Amino acid sequence: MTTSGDCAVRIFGHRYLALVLRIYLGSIFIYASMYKISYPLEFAENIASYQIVPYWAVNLMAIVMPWTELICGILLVVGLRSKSAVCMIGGMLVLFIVAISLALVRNIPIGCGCFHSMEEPMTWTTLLRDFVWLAMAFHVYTFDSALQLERRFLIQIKDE
Amino acid sequence: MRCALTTLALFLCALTALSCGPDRDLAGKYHASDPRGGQKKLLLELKEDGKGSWKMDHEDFAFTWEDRGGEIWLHSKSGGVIAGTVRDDRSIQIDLPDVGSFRFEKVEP
Amino acid sequence: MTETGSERQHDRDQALRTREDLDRKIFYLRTLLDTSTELAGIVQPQKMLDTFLLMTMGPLGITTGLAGLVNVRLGSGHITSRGLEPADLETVRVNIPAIGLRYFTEAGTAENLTSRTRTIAREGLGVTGLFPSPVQTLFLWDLSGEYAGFLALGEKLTNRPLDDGDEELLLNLIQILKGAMNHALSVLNIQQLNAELLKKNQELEEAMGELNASREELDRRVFHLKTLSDLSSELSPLLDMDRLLRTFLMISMGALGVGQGFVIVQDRKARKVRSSAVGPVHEPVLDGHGCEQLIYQAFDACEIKSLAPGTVSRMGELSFLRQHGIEIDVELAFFFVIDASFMGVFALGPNILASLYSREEIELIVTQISSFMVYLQNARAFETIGALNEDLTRRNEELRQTIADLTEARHRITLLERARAHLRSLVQQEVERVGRPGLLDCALILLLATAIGVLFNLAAPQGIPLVPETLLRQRSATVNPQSAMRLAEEGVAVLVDARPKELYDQKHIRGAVNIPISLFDIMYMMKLSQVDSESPIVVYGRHVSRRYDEELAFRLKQRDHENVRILEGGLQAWEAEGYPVQ
Repeated sequence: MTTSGDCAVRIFGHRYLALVLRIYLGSIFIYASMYKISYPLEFAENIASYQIVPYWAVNLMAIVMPWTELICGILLVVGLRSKSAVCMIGGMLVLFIVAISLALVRNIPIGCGCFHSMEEPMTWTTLLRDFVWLAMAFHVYTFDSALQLERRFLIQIKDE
Repeated sequence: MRCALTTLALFLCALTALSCGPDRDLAGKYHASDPRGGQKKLLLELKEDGKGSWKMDHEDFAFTWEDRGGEIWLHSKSGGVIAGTVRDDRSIQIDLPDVGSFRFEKVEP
Repeated sequence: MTETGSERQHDRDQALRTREDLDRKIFYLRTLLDTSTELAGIVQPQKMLDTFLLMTMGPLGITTGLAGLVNVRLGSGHITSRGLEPADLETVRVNIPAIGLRYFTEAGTAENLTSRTRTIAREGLGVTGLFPSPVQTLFLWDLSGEYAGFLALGEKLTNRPLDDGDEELLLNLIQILKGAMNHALSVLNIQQLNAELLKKNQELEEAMGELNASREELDRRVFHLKTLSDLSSELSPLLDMDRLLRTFLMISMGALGVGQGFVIVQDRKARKVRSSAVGPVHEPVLDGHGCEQLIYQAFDACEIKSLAPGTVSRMGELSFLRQHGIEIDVELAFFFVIDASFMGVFALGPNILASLYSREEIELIVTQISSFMVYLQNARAFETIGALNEDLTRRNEELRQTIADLTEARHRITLLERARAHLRSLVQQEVERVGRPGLLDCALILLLATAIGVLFNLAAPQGIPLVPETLLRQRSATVNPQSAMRLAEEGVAVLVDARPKELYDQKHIRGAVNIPISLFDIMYMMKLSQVDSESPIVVYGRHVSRRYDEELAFRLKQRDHENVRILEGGLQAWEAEGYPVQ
């Protein structure tokens, strides 16, 4: 019982699992950012539809947020400052979760605007999905150590 | 490091390949009649560079379009999207809420 | 009768005797006169003694006689004899110093030496053995000064001793002799003195001549030395080669009284030619090649063909100098060698007197050139030292520069090492930091995203304004719900809901047309293009994140709708009034 538990913990906490999750999360964020960067006004409308952000800040947020997602996604995939990046991604996910929760509670019938503008109105599954992603981010934060560009680079310098 | 960079490059290539753009086959001029009746002719033009226009009378709705696999999305300049369905006969059906369904037949390649 | 006879006899005898006496006296006097006459012309003491002895012995009839003159101080003298054996004469000659000592010095004689003539008889001679036995009587006399004399006589032929008359005669004769002898001696003395004087004079003249010669020589030497000294004192402070040449030329010409001169030296090692000229109109200009040629020809024209250092050689052939542009009438020229690579030519024109150069002048010039060469060598050594010094200074400077560079390089290395250490520690920190999330990283990512986002938005065709344009526009005119309701009921106004379709679908004013702002163009085209531009339009729909009504009002005004109003309070106010929604 104990051995199988240990084994499960070992598989669950394996660094390669963390690597897979890291790349997955990074990819999702990079993909998500693409559409938003291409159609900023549409994304601004999405943000506005949540009715949370004050109207003067909506456009600014629509401009900055996709790039933040892109940069964090790239950093995660490459393995550069991945801890910080995964923290930021976690933070954004928390933000999304709060926003979605509020929208659901307030019964605002909107798509989540996570990937593009033509999504179905979101449901609790959307919230669940974001929670899963948040868990993945936590896993990455805790267990990730493999294939980190930065670490390889620094170790090389240190060896010189 | 090289490995990581390669990973990133491959990844970005894959994303670019997946992302949707204007389809050359769809480009062309389409005609439709007003579903609400009337003699007005509607003209839909999809240019190959991804731009397009919807004309009725003297009014003009300019947009950018993209093919999303069986669907066509028209992005308005003011931040809206109109989705249309591409049918097998290469006609495009667009439903405008509160207005009706437009069926555009291709008249020019 | 007898007495008378005897008296007569006696008288006769007496008369006879008197006559005899008178005859004798006449004879004596004649003898004295003859002797005096004979002796008067004689100067030689020997001859005088001879004559005297002859004149003495003859009248007295004496067979053996000896006369001598003694120089008491020297112990020498002259003797002469008649009728004496040669051996005896020799004995007396040998005894002269002893005779002088015995009879003529104060110690030898009992009585004081006087100028008086003394007579010593045979008995008085004693056994001294100074005189031979035939001598019966000895007369001794003194002459003035250091001379004395003696006369030794043997027996008469008659064997009678000398009577008073004889003795008187002898004394008178001796007196005459003394006088003559004195005279002769003084003449002799004078002659001797004269001869000595003449000799001295001659010697003096010779000495004078030598003196003059040596003085001339001395003068010449002094002049030479003075010239050389001048040359040395003028040349010694000069270390500049050109000035050295000039000064040497001037001094040398000045010393000899020459109006034209030329000097050239070539330093082959340093490839330098220096020359100086006085006199010609044009200063001769010689390059290295020309000078080389000149030196070669000069060497060829030399009397002594030697290249040993220090050689100064006079040149025979001088005509070639003119070919090299040295326009002076060269009278005298020298080729000199300082060392194998440093040679020169010195040429002089005619001197002012237009006379030939003397041997001494040539010697002087050679000496001058010799000392000039020393100064030339010094000057060259100084130049070399100067060049070396310069070289040394330059190298020193280079060295200092190198040291400075090295120091700087060291500093740089130190700095680099420090930077490296710093980098290392940074890397260390970074490595440690990789494992941790950083607030700074997050801030950086946000900043980067903002920067890229804003820049991209500005550049991209689909860019949007950073803040909503409605914020900056003038507010549109409003209408309160009551008026709006009235207008709607009258069917005059068109109510437009500007919100997205989802929100419109949830709840909207009954009869309101939905024109989502995001699809304004097409929706306007489909739904409102028929509406009269003068008809009032009431627009509503806003929330915290968007002011759809303002935006739509602005758009409608752009489409020439003049009477566009915004519903005060929006849907909430409308609802609050209890007006119908659906």
